[in-house]
Amino acid sequence: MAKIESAARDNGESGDLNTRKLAEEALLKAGALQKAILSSANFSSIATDAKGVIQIFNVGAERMLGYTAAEVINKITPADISDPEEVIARAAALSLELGTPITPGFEALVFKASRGIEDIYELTYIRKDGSRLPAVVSVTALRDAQESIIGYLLIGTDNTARKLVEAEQKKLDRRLREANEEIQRFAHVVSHDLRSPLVNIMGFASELDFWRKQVFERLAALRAQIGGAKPDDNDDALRTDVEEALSFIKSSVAKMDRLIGALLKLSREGQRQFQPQFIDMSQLLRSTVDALAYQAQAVNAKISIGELPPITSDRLALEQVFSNLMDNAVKYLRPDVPGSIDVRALEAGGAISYEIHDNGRGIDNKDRERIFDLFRRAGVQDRPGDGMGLAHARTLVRRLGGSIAVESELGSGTIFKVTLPKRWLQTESETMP
Amino acid sequence: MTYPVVIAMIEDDEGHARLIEKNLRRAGVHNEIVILNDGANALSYLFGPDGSGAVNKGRPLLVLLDLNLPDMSGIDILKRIKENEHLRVSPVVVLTTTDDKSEIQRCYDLGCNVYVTKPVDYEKFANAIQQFGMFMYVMQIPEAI
Repeated sequence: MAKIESAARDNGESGDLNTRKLAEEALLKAGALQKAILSSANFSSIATDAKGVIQIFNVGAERMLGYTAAEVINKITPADISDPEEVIARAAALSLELGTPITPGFEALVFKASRGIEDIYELTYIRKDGSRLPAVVSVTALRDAQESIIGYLLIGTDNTARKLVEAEQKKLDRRLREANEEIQRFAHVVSHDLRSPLVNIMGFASELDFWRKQVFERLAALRAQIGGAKPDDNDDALRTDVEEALSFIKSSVAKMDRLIGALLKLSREGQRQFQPQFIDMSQLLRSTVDALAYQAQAVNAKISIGELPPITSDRLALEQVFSNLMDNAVKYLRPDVPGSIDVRALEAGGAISYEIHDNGRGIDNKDRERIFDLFRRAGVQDRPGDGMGLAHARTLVRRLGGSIAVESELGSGTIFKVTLPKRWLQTESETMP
Repeated sequence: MTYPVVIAMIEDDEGHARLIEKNLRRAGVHNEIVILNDGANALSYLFGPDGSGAVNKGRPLLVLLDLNLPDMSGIDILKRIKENEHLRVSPVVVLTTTDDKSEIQRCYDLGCNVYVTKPVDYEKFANAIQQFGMFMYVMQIPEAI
């Protein structure tokens, strides 16, 4: 190409036979390569002179852009067949990045390459018929024997398919974000609107309770005035009935308030922005276990933490997830066997699976999906809990791009597997407005 | 002449209004309590027919404000009170079910004087209102300018 031709001419002038021979060999080799590149219909190869005027326009370029070589060679620069807005934006971005003013035009397309910086970027070509061709372009400067730039080579590949996927992904991300926001708003409104009547139910039930005392005091006083209660008056039974009714109302209201509070907490958690950071997981799990030391000792449980690979993720979210899983593991051990909980990890590809094995009571097959639902619990209801923990854990793990799975055998133990990307990076669907 | 302090209670829930009133009375608060059951009523009481607020000039007013009103947000009422030349000195006590940190912050930002959350637990609710009632004894409440 330009470089080779130029080198051959230089050597011809010097008259050095040996050098000329080497140059010819190089030319022959390069010629084969050049021909292969130039005849490829899947790459648009556009070579220009130093000023940007097109000198070579291969069959790929003709096919992809709709111009014939004759229409563009010695006539225009690649910038003339590129999206002008992109060229302007690229010039502005490069000016900022490199701290030097760059003209929106051909210079913007090749500036990095002219400084010897490898440059591959996305560029939209405008075809002869005016349609757009999203391409990925690789730019190389062509130099002569003295290393001065004599032109540029722009090799482009069709990027349409990827662009389509990206656009589809963006649309999905947006929809997901909107759905998320709607759920958050819904949870927020519902929890406040539900709480308001509860204040009244609880308030007036308590007021009734207060008046009940006065009513029975007055009744007793009246009975005393008329000479004491008759055997079938049954004031005590009546008092017990009223007390029982009020206490059911109050305990149910209190429960509903807890559930609403849990719902609200979940919706707030969903709004928190995650901060990816490097986390020593062995250390995180050890401090989780430290916090559970009392409970573990009370049920005579032995907990061992293996060597766990570190991860880049959100610390607070992982603390909540693992503290919940470890808490469950300790909470649902069997009283008749010494408890044993074991945490290990498996790394494969870009993901890490952290596994919590216990020899506890296990989870029935039919409950293995249910336990992740909000307010749902499984097995004998003899432990405190509000059915929030696993729902919350799954929400967090999913937001972190991972998954949570359970394997279990009723009466012999459970394995919870939390699989997370080794490096979690904020994606658009995670960015709240 | 000086007027006694009037409590303007902006509260759409009748039950809440009764419970608040009961507990203020229990704490020994005997002041007049005007219950305003929506935003429109509240605005017309506070700012008068001309909307200037001059109607309350010279009257010591204490505003109890619920944030969740059917026709407007209590936040807007708070904002209007604190921007009004006559009423901006009147203490506003936000009394609401919302315990959202950002909401609380926002109210103080806009000049609310006290923010109290209504708990569902009635013992706590009664306590909060009664303590607030007792606090009113020692509070100096300025007259609207």
